[in-house]
Amino acid sequence: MPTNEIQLLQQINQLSFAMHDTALYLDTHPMDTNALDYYHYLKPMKEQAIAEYTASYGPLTMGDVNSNTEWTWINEPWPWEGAGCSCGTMRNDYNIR
Amino acid sequence: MNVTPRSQNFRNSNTVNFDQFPLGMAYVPWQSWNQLYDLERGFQAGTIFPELDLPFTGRCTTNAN
Amino acid sequence: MWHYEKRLQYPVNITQTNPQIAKIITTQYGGPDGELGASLRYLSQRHTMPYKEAVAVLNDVGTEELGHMEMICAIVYQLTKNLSIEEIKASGFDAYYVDHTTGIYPVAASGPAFTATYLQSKGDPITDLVEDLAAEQKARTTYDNILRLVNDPEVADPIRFLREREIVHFQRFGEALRIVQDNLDSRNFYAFNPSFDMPTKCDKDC
Repeated sequence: MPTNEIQLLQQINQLSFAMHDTALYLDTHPMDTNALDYYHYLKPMKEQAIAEYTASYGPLTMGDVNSNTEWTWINEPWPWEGAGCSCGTMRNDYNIR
Repeated sequence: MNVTPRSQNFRNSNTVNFDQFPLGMAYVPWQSWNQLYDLERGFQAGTIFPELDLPFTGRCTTNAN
Repeated sequence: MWHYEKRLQYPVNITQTNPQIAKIITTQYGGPDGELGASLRYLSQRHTMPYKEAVAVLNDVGTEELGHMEMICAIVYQLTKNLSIEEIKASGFDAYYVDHTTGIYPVAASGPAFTATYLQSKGDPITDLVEDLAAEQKARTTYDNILRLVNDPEVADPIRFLREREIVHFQRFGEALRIVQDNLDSRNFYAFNPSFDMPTKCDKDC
C-alpha cells in the first residue's frame, strides 16, 4: 500500500473509532453536550479523510463508487487479507494434471 | 424508604453510596465525561476513556505473589 | 439495516502462520463467549427493550460485535494461509482441516459448532442486561486466556484491542441497567416486566 493510503486509512480508523466510542457513551448520556461537541468536532475531519481516500484509492462503501467504467467495489484486497495479501495468486500451487 | 438516585442526576460516582441502594439488584457506577486520550493513544488502547483503560497484565505475575 | 465499511475496525496484519493458535482463536468466532454469540444476543434482545437508551446500546454494541467477528475471522484466516500438510499434521489442526480445509467456520476451541444455546433473549430488560454484563466478562476472560497463550505480538495486538472493547461494553450495559432502574419503582424493581406487563391497565383482579 502506498504511504499516503496507509496514512489516510489510519486517520479514518482513528477518527471513526473516537466517534464510535463517543457514540456509545452518548447512547446512555444523550444530553451530554461535552460528548456531543466532541462528536461534531470529529465528524467533518472523518468525512474529509474518507473523501480523500475514496478519490484516490477507491470506495470504502458500496454507495461511494465513483467510476463509470468499472465496478471498483469488488477490487482487492478485502479487509481480512492484511498487509501480506497474495491476492490473485493461487495458493498451494500444485501441478494438477 | 431507600430510593435509588436517578442516574441522570448523578455525574460523579463519589457522591453516591452504593450500600444505601435497594438490595437485590446490580449497579454499575455512572461514567462522566472527563479528559480523553488523543486519537492515536485512544485507538491503540481500545478506548478513548482513560478511566476504562484496564489492560491485562496477568502474564507477568505468578500465583506465588 | 446494516451497511458494510470495507475496512476492519482495528488492523490485522499477521506475517507468520500458526494453525495451533488459530484453533484457539476460532473460539471467539464460534465459541460460547465469542463475538457471533454476543452479536446475536444483543441484536435479538434489542426488540423487547422498553427504553430507547438501552435499545440504542444493544443495537450499537450488537453491530460493533459483527465487526469484531470479522476481525477474529481475519486473524484465523491469516494464521492459516498457505499451510503445508506437514504444518497441519504437526499442529493438531488436522481435525478441523479434514472438515473445513482452511475454510473459516464457527466452532469452539474444544470442537462443538456454534449454537444459539450460547445466548439467551429472555424478554425482561433487567434479566437481559444482567446476562449481557456476564457475557462481556466471559468474553474478557476468554481474551485474557488467549493473551496468555499467544507469543506473537502481531496476534496479541488486535486481541488486546478486542479485550478492551469488552470492558467498555460492560460499562455501557451497566449504564443501560441503571436507566432501566430509573424507569422503575425502586421499592420493588421486580414488581412486573416492563417489556410485557402493562400494570396501568390492571383490572380488579390485580
